[in-house]
Amino acid sequence: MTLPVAPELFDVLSQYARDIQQGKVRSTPALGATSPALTFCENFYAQFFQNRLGQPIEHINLESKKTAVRLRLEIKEKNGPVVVIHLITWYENLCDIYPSVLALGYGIGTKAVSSIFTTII
Amino acid sequence: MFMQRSLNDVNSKRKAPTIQDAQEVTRLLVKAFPSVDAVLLCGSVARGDADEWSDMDLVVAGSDPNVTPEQLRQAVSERGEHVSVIYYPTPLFRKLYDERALFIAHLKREGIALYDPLDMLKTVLRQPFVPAVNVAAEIKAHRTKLTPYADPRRFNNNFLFCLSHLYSIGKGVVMLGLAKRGVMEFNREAAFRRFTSLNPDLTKEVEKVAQLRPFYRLVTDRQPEPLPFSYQSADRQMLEAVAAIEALAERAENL
Repeated sequence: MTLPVAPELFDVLSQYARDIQQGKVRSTPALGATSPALTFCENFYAQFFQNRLGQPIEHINLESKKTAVRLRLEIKEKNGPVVVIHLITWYENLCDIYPSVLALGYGIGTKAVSSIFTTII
Repeated sequence: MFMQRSLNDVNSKRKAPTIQDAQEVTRLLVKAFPSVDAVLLCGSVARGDADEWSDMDLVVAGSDPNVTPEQLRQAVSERGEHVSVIYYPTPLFRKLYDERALFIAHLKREGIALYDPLDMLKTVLRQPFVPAVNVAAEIKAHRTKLTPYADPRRFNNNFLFCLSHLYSIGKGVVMLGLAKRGVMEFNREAAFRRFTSLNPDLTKEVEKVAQLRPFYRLVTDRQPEPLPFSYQSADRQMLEAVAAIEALAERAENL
């Protein structure tokens, strides 16, 4: 049976946290499109949508957000698990800030975006 | 797949953005956000090779640290262009020169100043590019980004986003390798060709990275291209791509 999300994926986040703690990662320049933090988020949701919701995702954008909202409302209507609803809501947030997170990879970014992203992970 | 749109639907709504479009967008931005100090156009529109799938890439600096790229995009959203905005508070813009050598080189090479009343862009971009230290550090940072891909089990047989990231990392390594030799090339395909011509023994590795482009285009919602293989159960292809990028990075570091 396929797990909704591979437990090993969380190693990415643990390692990244250790690297930050040990000063191996500079803060904002290390965020952005190819950072381990974003790798975790994208793959978490790719696996979650495919294996738990049966709806593979190929983008993180406003269109996929609309589909996520639809799914969330359907699950809510059927009194589905609250945790699933929360996770979809976080995905919707990720869709909102995704372009700004990608932009962090180009330099310093803004305090506002950094703090939102830090909250999510 | 649930996010894929009809190609015809999308094509009918998009047109290739131009420098004139970017100038108009800039006028709107400056009007909506008087705190904006500078707007620079870069990417395919600035190079003149944009197509209907291209984003308009703008680097914006402003005195208000609380402005976000989303707010800036919102201000021009009615025009319908795909505008990609990178925003820097003005005092931090200059730090870019120290933090992101390749990015500055990119801006110097192809950036077009659309709004620069304080001559900030002119001043920053006039500084000589000194690649030795920063480029080496950036190559090292790119290698670090390969760490999550050491264990294919992490991806539960869905490698789409991995392959897209690996394309970005590999492309960055190739451009950095060229920059270390003093070659500034920011068109991806041209960079791959140039790197291969300078390092013919690494042709296979470059091709391994280049073939991941359709995954990157799929994830970034650009003109779809046929996938060279399925991203499901692509653990072998992922590991081969990681090995190829490692080889490219090693060469780039030692150039």
